[in-house]
Amino acid sequence: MNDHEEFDETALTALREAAQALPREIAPNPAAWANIRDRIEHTRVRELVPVANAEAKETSVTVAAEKSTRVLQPTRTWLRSTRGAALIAATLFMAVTTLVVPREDGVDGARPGALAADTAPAEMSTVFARYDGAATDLQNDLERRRPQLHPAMVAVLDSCLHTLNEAIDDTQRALKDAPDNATIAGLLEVAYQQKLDLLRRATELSESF
Amino acid sequence: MQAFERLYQQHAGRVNALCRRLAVDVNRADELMQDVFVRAWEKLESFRGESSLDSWLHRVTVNVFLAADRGDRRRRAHEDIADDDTYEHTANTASSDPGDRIDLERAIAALPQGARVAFVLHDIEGYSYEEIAAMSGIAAATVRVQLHRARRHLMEALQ
Amino acid sequence: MPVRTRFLTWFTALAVLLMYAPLSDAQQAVTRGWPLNADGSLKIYNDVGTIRVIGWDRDSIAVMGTIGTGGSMFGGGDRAGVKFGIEGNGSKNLTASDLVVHVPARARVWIRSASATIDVSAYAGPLDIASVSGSVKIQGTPTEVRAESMNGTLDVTASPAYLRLKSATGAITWNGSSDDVGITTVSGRMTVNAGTVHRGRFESIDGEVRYRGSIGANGTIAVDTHSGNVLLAFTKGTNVQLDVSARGCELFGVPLGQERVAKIPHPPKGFYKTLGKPSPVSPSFTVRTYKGYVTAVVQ
Repeated sequence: MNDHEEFDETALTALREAAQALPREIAPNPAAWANIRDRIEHTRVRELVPVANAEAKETSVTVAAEKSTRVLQPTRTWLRSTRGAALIAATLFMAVTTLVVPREDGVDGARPGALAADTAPAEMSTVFARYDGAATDLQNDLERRRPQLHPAMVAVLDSCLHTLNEAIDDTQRALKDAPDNATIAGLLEVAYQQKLDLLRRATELSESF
Repeated sequence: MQAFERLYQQHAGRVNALCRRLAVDVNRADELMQDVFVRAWEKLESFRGESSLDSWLHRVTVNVFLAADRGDRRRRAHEDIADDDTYEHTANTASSDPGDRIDLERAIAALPQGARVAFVLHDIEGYSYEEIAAMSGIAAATVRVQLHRARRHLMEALQ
Repeated sequence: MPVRTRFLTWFTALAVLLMYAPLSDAQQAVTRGWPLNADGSLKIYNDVGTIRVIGWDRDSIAVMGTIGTGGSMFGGGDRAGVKFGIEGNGSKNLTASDLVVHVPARARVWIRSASATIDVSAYAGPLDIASVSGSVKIQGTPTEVRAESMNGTLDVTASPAYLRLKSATGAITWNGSSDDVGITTVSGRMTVNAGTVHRGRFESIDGEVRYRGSIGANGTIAVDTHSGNVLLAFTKGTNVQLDVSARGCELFGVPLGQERVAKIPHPPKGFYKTLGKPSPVSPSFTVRTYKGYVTAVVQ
């Protein structure tokens, strides 16, 4: 089908010129931005809840909100120990960073570590400093108990922490050179999360034996 | 969030114009525009700079519009968009003062949806058949048919 | 009695004593059972040896096997929940205990072990397994699976709605479909042969990630590695928006971007490709790797 064969050439040209002359911008409703911002904020808060619940399930906390009252670990008075405090701190931190650092829609309990495209470098530094702090607490606790740890656990921990720390150092250096690169920031966050998760799992496993 | 607000302020006018012409109904267009920017926020990570941000936002707009429309049509059990050849009667459009000559915007608003989408994206926004096909998930040949239909309706309406 | 005969008698008696003395600490056969509701909970502890869990259609638990030297079995509970396991007697020479456990097929099963090999089959309930160095193998229809091992392998052939597999250095292999899957390793290789995944997240630091499978409509899959390479195989006709950030990327035999280099001078590049017929509901598949190389093929 050929427009030029069917339509009058002049009329077609006039139509196309008139279309081109239409305004390319139309001012939106003044209230639109507020509504958009509210919806985005609401999405962030809604995402926090399933992450917090999923992370809490993976720690030795009896979650009253769960339908099952199953306790994942033998009942101990670990809440009073620094070990328990470090675990709670790590879990809460990972939940809090979901608020501070909005994530893409993903798998609950294992969300993509996507920092928002507009997270300021200073804010990122704060987030990563908190990761460092939480990891240091857990690592110090494990180090104190090293003589009691299963030998296989010690070997794996040492090897994997070395791998993780190298990856973190690598991406930190890259992020310094490209502070606005959301991909690198996201990958750095993933590495931190993996480190925290490894330390948390090692702590919980060591509690079982 | 501040940076995203700046992005919104830079592009909201263009996106809103596209939403108004696609959705026709003003209220629906407002909702569509908000949906577009919420989706853009969610998917901003996936923007790789291979096209302009403008084009990317337009692609998101078309995706959101068509997805919403599919939901509406499933509820209303309308016929397929590619074969739609009937005029839609839209409510709450721009002023319909009987004294006004029918202008191009109203004529576009009165087009069947498939034809309207093709005309808005091709003759107003300047996308190619292939680009429109990629955005809307229909064949390029169908885009040409819809565009031809749109032009015929418009030229008849404006005579 | 002649001296020689006396000597032989004493020698024989001593030999017999030495031969049979270890039997007092030898592996003990065990057969235990507890009633358990079909939806009850079961916790199993066994540090060393094997744990084999098999689902059945009875409201009870049956444990059979052998307890290693230096160990003893503990256990108790009621119809709602039972806990049992092997604990050391204080001896440092705890040897392997091999347990075969029949459980109600839909009970909740929770297993903790240091190095025991764990095998679960014919099971249809929620499963939670953690081990330091033991390997884990799961087959059946569990409704949800959480399994982790530090350096043991995880081999799962199941399609639970919710799946979380974690290892540090152990390799993970998963065959199945899921609505919600997360697999994480630090260095272990990850091999996914998926049916359909709706939401998936696969992370490794320097382990290789191999993904083959389909993605549900509107699905979202993300793969992140630091330096692990990523190999993707999509089935013909797959509609997906593929979004890659990598040092180098080869899509369907066509290299895009720079070749793989030993030293990476600048941040990863981005590649964006739509496979199949693009549509607003195309699933998205995002790969980010700082140093890794991505290869994608259609099969």
